[in-house]
Parts: sequence; structure tokens; C-alpha cells
Amino acid sequence: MLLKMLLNMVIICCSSALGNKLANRYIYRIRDIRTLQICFAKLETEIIYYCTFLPDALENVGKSTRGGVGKFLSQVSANLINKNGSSIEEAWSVALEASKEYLKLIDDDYDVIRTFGCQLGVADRTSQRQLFEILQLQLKKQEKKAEENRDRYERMYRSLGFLSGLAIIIILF
Amino acid sequence: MPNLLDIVIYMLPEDLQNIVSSIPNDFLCKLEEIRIRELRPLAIISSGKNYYIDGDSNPCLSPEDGYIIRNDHTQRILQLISNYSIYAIEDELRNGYITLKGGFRVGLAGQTVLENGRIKTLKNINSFNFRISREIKGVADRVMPMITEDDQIMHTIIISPPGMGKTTLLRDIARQFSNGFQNFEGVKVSIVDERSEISGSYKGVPQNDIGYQTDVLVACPKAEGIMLLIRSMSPDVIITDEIGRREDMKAIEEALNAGVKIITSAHGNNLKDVLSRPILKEVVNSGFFHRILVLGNSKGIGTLEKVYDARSMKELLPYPIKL
Repeated sequence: MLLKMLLNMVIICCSSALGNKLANRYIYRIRDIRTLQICFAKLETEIIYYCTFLPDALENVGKSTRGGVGKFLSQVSANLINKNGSSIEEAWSVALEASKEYLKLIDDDYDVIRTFGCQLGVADRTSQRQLFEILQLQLKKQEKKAEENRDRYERMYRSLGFLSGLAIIIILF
Repeated sequence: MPNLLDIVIYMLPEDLQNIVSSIPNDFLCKLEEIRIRELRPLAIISSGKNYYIDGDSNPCLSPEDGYIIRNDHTQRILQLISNYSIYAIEDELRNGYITLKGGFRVGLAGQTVLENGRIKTLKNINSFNFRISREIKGVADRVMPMITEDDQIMHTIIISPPGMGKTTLLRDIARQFSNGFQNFEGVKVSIVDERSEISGSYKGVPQNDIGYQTDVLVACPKAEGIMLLIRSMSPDVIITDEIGRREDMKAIEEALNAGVKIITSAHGNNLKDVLSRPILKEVVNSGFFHRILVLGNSKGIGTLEKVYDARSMKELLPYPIKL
């Protein structure tokens, strides 16, 4: 009987944890998008007002940001200064691809960031400012979508985790 | 050539890096320029001669054999020389060149964008000229006694065709005046380095040895720069290059009035050439200057052809000397 209880507990815990993990994706995505917005605002300041060279600007912002987004920006900077003659587009895409390991974004978000990266640093200040404006608008939109998804699915996945655990127990015993 | 390989080479895409770094050493040692032109062969100027470079790094004389530069090459070079930051080099683009770390200068050509009839910026940049400037310490050793007299510095103008070592000479003159030489004690030197070429400044910091007592104003128009330095840095000598506009003359006059010595240069093949240009003629004839030095090529690049006493127009140099 005790063993059975213990087993039930384990099943419930596992399925709830799985549900939570799925639900947390929605929260982490919003967290990453918001961090990106802050980072790109800082990057804009570096570029538009201080005219810092892009690799330095990326490194400065990357260093001052904790977590995956900081790591991503530092990675782009590292790719740019490694002297193999790569273009910004390549350096950006390579880092972005690697960031899929630790950023919880979806493909839509990646598209926005990738498009932005291709045009970063390749035009004058006025155009760069517009580029940042467009990016922030798009990220805002992505954030809104992410919030809607969170509202819709977060609780559902959490309940689903718990309930599916319960269902398994009922079926098993 | 650690400098060249360290800096200029990394401004090229990978395939060009490999080609340029494998060019035979004899040519690399005397490299003066690397020329990149879109849809045309890669070329270098070495010992004053033009060579096309083929895919196996061999210099050849026929353009057909040369390695053809593609559009993605030029795009990439622009990103690399601008340090991925076109927005940070808008002024440089307007002037048509960028200074790299180490003082190497890259000239650019493409399509200009105009605003109110003046160049606003360049676009579709497709030609690059990597100029390998060389720092030759001691090149001015034999010049220094000619431009000083009883420890007094003479107002001097150096006349030279492009590529004859005018800037190299000015740089060493700055260094020697600043540090002192023989019995001459060092003085305060200021350089107005409009094209960042004398000091080879990168991010405002001189990369060349221009002396302990030298202050540099980088990327500043000459006339304004001279006035600013007289007011702010109390120099004994002001060094600047390539004068030729009327406002430059005014500023030089101002410096002379302030008791500051001037060493400068002008483009020209010989004295006659310079005297045919109205503004320069005025300067030479006005008696501003004490010495006129003419550089040329009769004994190789950097030959001091003639030295005149500007007031009496007497030649002070019996025969050309290679510096």
C-alpha cells in the first residue's frame, strides 16, 4: 500500500514537472523578448549617440546583461573580431543559431532578429535609428503575442501535467 | 612585415587574405599599395610598379591573369575596414578614406551622394586603395641641419609629387624636433593631421612614433586646426601637410605672427610647378618661408632633389641626395 502511494506520488510529480516545463516555455520566451528589447535599446544608445564601433558596442551591452541574451550578443562580438573576414550577416546568423540552445524564442522571433542583424552597422546613423525603431516595434508585437500565448497555454499545460498524472494513476490502478 | 600582415590582411575576406599573404616576399617587402576594384583584377603597387595578382598569388603584368574581385568581396571589405560600423565613419566616408589601426589608410571610391551640392557620403563603394605607409625613423637625419640654423627652426615647405615620401619625411621631422637631435634640444611640436596620415591615428591615438613632445589634432581642417593649436597647446612648431587653400595661408600667416614655426608640404613636381599655382605662388613669394625642399625620384623614391633658401632663391644643395 505504501509502495503504491509512493509510486502515485512519483507519477504525479513527474507529470506535473513536465507540465510546468512546457508551461514555463511561455514565461521564458517573454522574459527573453523583454531582455532583448532592453539590450537593443542600450545598443541603440551605443551606436547612435556614442558612435561606438559595433563589435565594442555589442560586447559592452553583452557584458552588462546576464543570461542568454548577453551571451548571444557577446558571441556576435567575438565572431566579428576573430579576424577571419566574416561579414556581420554571417557572424550574426552563426551566433543566433548557437543561441537556440539557451534562448527560449520561437522561429518567428528569430526571424525578426535575423533580419535586423543583416542590416546592423551597414548604413549611416539615420538609417540605423530607423532600423532600431522598426525592431522595437516588431519585438513589442512579438511580446504581445507571447503574452497572449502565455495566458492561453500556461495554465492549461500546468493543469494538463497534473491531470494527466492523475489519469495515468486511475488507469494503472 | 608584421604590421602589414597584422592589420591590413585582416581587412580582406578569407580568400583574398590567403592570396595576399602568399605573395612572394620580394614584392611584399616593397609593397606600397593594394588595389581592389570590383569586377577587375586584384592589383598591387610594389617598388613603384603595378602588378596584377593571380589566384596563386603570383604577380603578373597582364590583367587577364589577375584574380577578379567580386561584389561580395567589396561589400565585405567595406564592413571590415569600417569595423562593421558605417554609422561611425560617416565623416571619413565624406572625405573618401578611412584610417585603420596602425595608421594604414584606405582610400575609397564609389558613387557620391550630394546634399546642397556638397558630398554627403559615398555609396556603392567599389574601389579600395590600401596604402601601406611606412615609418622610417631617421629619414630626416640629413634634412634636419638644412631646416635649422643656429638652433632656430626655419619655416619650411616641402614640395613633392604624390608617393615620394613627403608624409614619411614630415613624420620624422616631427619626431626629431620633438625629441631633439644632435645639439638641438627637443621642442613642443603640434601636428594638424587632417588625413590622419602623419600620425597614423586610430581612435585619435597616434600609432606612429611622432616624438615625446608632440600633440596631434586628428581629422581637423588645417586652417582651424592651426588656430586652435596656437591657442591651446602653445607649440614651438606646427607641422601640417598639403596646404593649398586660401584659408590655409591665412592660418599660416597667423602662426607666423604668433612666433610659431611652420613646417608644411604641398603637391608639385618642382618649384616651377608650384609657382604656377596662384595661392602657392603667393606664399612662396611672400617670404613666409625660409626653406623650400623639393622631393623627387631621380635616385629612387625619397630623393631630396633641391633645397632653396626661399628669400634669395639660392640653391643650397649641390646635388640630389637619397634620404
